[in-house]
Amino acid sequence: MNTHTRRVFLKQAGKGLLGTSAAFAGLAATPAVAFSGDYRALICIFLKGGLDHADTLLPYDEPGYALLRQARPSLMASYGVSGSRSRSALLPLNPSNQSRFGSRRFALPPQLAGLKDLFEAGDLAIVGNVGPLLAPTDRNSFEAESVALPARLFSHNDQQSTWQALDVEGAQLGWGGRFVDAAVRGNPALNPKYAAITTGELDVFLASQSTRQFSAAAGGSQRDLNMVAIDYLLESEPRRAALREAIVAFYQRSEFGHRAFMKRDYAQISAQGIRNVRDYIAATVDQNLEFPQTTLGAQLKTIANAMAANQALGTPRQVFYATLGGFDTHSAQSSQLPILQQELADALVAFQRALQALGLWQNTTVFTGSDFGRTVIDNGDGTDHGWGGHHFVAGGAVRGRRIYGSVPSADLGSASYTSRSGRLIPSVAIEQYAGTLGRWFGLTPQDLDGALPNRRRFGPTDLGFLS
Amino acid sequence: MTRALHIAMPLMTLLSTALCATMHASDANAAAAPPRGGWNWPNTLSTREDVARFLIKAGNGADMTTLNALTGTDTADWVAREFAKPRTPMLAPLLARQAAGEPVRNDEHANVFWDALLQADDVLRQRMVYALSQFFVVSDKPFGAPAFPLAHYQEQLSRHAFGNFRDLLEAVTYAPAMAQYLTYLRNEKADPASGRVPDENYAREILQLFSIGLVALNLDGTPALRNGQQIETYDNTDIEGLARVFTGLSLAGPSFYTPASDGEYQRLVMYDAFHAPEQKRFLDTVIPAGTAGDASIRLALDAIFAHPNVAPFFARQLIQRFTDSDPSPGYVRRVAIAFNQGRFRSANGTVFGTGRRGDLQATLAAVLLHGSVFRPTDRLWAGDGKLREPVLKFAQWTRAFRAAPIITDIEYRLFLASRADIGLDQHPFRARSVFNFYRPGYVAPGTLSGDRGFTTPEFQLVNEGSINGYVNFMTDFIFNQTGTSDGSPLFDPDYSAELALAGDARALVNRLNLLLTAGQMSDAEIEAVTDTIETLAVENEALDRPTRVEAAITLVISLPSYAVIR
Repeated sequence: MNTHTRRVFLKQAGKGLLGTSAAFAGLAATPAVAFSGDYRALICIFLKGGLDHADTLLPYDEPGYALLRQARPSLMASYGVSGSRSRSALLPLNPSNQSRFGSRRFALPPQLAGLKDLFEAGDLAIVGNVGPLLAPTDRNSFEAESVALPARLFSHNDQQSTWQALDVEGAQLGWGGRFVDAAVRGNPALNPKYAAITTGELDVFLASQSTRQFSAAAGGSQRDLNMVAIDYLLESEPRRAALREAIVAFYQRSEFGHRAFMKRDYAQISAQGIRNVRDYIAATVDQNLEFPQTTLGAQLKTIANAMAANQALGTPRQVFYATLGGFDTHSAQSSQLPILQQELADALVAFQRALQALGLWQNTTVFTGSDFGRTVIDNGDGTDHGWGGHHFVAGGAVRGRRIYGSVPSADLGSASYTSRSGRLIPSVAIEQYAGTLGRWFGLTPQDLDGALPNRRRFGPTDLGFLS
Repeated sequence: MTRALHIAMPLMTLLSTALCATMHASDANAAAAPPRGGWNWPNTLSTREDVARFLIKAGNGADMTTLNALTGTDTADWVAREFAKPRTPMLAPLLARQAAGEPVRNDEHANVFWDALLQADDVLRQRMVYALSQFFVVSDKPFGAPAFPLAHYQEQLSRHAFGNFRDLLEAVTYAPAMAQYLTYLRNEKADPASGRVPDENYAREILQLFSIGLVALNLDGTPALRNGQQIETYDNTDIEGLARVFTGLSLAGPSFYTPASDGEYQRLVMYDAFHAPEQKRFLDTVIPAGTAGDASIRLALDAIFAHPNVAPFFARQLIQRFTDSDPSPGYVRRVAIAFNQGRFRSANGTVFGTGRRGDLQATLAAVLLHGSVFRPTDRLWAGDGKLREPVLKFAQWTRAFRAAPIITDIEYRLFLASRADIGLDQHPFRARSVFNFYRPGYVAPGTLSGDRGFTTPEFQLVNEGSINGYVNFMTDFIFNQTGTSDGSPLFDPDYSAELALAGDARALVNRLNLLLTAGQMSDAEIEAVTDTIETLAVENEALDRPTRVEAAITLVISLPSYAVIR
C-alpha cells in the first residue's frame, strides 16, 4: 500500500484529533476523599552539583567582605570590579535576629532579589551551614579522624544520596519518602499514589515503602497515550472503536504470566504508570498560573497544579521533589551561577504568588538541598566540592526574616573549616534540618525517630524555623 | 624524568593474593550448581531464536534475512568478523561538510552517531561506542556548539573501541570535549600568592567513574572488606595530588589562551608553563617535583590503569550494557580475567586479544561469549536478563524492519529523543550529568528485583513520565508518521512479510515474537497481542492489514519481553 499517502492522511487527521485525550477523562479516576482543610505540602528543590553557599549568602560588613575577597581572589575578580559581587551591588539583609551576629552583616547577590523580598516579608528563612554529619564535628576532630564521618564526602552521587536518604548511593528510602510513609500511617484516607511526586529525576529522596514516586511532567501537561493513528482510523471507520478500547486496556495490563523478576517489575511499573497518568490527568486542572518558562519554573508550575488538586487526588499530605542542575561550577562560575540563582529566585517568587492566589501558601513549605557546599578557596574561575552549605526555607508557616544555624566568616584558619581548601564543616546536621520540616509536616516524635534515626545525636532536634 | 613512578607493589600483591584466596560464595544468579565443565554452553546459534537472542544482546537485533543467514553459525566467528569490519567515521563527515562550505549544525555529531547506530554495518563497534559513552560520559548538553568537539570525542571512542583501555583512557583525557565537560581545559597550576588551587573535577571523576571507583573490589566485582568494612580507594589528599597532574592542558593553537580554529577537534596540548611543578602524590604513587606535564599524565594514567580495581570495575559495567543488568560475580570475574590477561578463548577455540592487559577485544568477547549468555532459556533463573535501554529498543525496530531512508538530520523527533514526555528519555551523548542516565548500582525501590537487591540501572528511566513518552515516540515511527512536513518519507519500514500474514493474527504475532523478542514472549503475551488485534476484522484489505501489523508491533514493543532480553 502507499504508506506515503497514508502518512499524510494520518498527519492531517492528527491535527484535528490531538485533543481527544479528553475522552479518557471519563475513565475511573481516583475516588476523591474529602478531608478537612489540614493540607500540608513539603517541596524540596534540589540544586544539583553543589551550590556554592559562599557565593550565595555573602558577608556584607566590610571586614567580612574583605576576608571573602582575600579567600577567593581570582573568582571574585572574575565577576569584574563593578560586577554583581562588588559590595555595592549586593543586597544587604535585615534579619530580625541580627543581634545574634553582632557587627557581622549578610547580603544576597542581585540575582536573588526575589528571595531578599521574600526574606524581608517574613516568608523566607536562611539556614546556615547544613550538611551531613554522624556526630558533632569540628576541625580538630576532623583532622585527627577522632570522629565518625559520613562516607564518601565530596562525591556527587553519594552526597546527593546522603542529603536525601542519609546514606551513600544505594540507599533505599529517602527522608521525603519516609515522611510520606508516616503520613500514610497517620491518615488512612490518604491515597499514597500521589503523595510523593517528582518533577525532576527519579532520585532517592521520595523513595518510600508505601508508594512508587509519581513522576509528573514539568510544565503541567502530562502526556497521555498517543492514539492519533488509531483515532484517525476510528473516525474513518467507527468499527475500529473496539480495537482502540482493546489497545487502551492492553496497556493497562500488568500480568503476563512471567516468572522473571524484571519482566514482572516492568509490567507492573508500566501498567501502573499508564493508569496513574490517566487518573492524574483526570484529577488535575491547569490553574493558568504565571510561571517563568524555565526548567525550575515549569516544575513548580506542575507542583502548584498538583497541590491545587490535592482533594481530587486524595492527598492531604504531599511531598514534592524538583531539581535544578548546573551548580557544579568548577569553572566559569561567574557566568553560570548568577543565571541559576536568577532562575531559582524567579521560580520561587512565582511559586509564592501562585500559592497565595490558590490560598495554599500557609500550607506550603519549600526548601533547598544540594550535594554539598563548595570550597571557599577558588581554582581560578570556579570552586570545588565542599561539605556544609547554606539553604533557603520559604512558606506561610516559616518564621522568616531570620538566619538560623551558623554562617562562619571566610576566615579559613578558623575551626569552622577543614585545614585545606576551605571546606565548611557543617554545624547543622541534615537530621536537624529535616526534623524541623517533618515536625511541621505532622510527624510525631516517634515518626521522626524512625525517619531520622540519628536526629538526637546533635543539638536541638527542632531548629525553630517553622511555626 | 624517568622512572618517576612508584606503585606500591606490596599492596597490590596483597590484594591479588586475597582475591585468589576469596571463596566465591555460591553464584547468586545460578539456578543450581554449575554442570560439569561450568556454564560453558556452546556459542553455536542452532535456531533463529538463538540468533535473534544473541543479536539483541550484542547488536541491535536483526531482520529475518539475517536471522536465517546466521542460523547454524558460531558467535565467535560473528564477533571476530565484527572486530575486523571497517570503522564508520564520526568526525570526517563534519569535516567534509565544512570543506564543501556547507553549514555544520550544532547537532551534527548526534546525527552522525544516530546514523551509525541505526544503519551502519559495524554494529558491534557502534554498540561498544554507545556502551563506552555511558562509562566515559560526556554530555553535549552544556556545550554551546558541540558538533566538532563531540564528533571528535565520538571518534576517539570509536577508534579505541576494539583497542586497549589504557590507550582509550589517554585519548579521553586528551579530548577537548572531555576537558570542557569536566572543566580542566586551561586548568592552571596553583598560585600560592592568591591561594588558587587546581580544579579537582577531572581528578575526582577519572578515579570515581572512569577507572577504579570508590571502594576496593575483588576480582569478581564485589567490594573487598577489611574487618567487615568496605575500603575506600582514595581520599581527598589523593584528589588534591592528582589534580596537579591535569593542569596545563589547552586546545592546540598558538598559545595557552589562543586556540587554533581546529583546536576543538585536535588532541589537547600541554603548556608546561601552566603545569604544576610540585610533587604529585596519589594512590601510593609519587611523581617527583619538576616532572613535565605530558610525562606526568602518562605516569598518572599508568598508575591508575595498574590499579587492580580497573578490571572488575569496568567489566561489570560493560556486562550491564550488553547482556545482564545484574551480572553474577562469576561472570564479572571471567570478564575481569580476560581484561587482565588481554586474552580470551571462546568455546570453539577462537582466541581474542593481543595479550596486553586492558585489551578491549578480549574483554568484549568475554562479555558476549560467556556461557551464561547462551544458557538455554528453560534453564534461566528468574533473576536473569538485561533490562534494555530505550535507545536500543528503538534501534532494534529500525533494524528489524529495515526502516529507510534514515536521514537523521531532518528527523526532529530524534533530536527530541532525550525528552521523557515525547521521546525516549535518552539520547546518545546527552546524559543529564557525568553520572550517566542511570547508576550501575541502582536498585529499584518497590520492585521484586529491588527486594532481592538486584541492580537494574535502566529502571531509573521507567516511570510515569517516560512510559507514555516511549510508547508515543515508537508509535509515531511504527505507524510511519515521521518525516518531513511535506510528507517525504523517512524511516519507511518494510512490513511486506508482516502484511502478508495480517489475516492470521496468530501467525503475525508468532513472527513478531521471533523477530522482536527472540521467541521469549510468554503465552499470555502472545494471547494478549493476538486478541487485541483480532478485535479488528480484516474487511478493508488496504486499511485493516497495515493497521493490524502496526498495532501488533506497537503492542509488542511495549511488552516486558521486549524490554527485557534473557
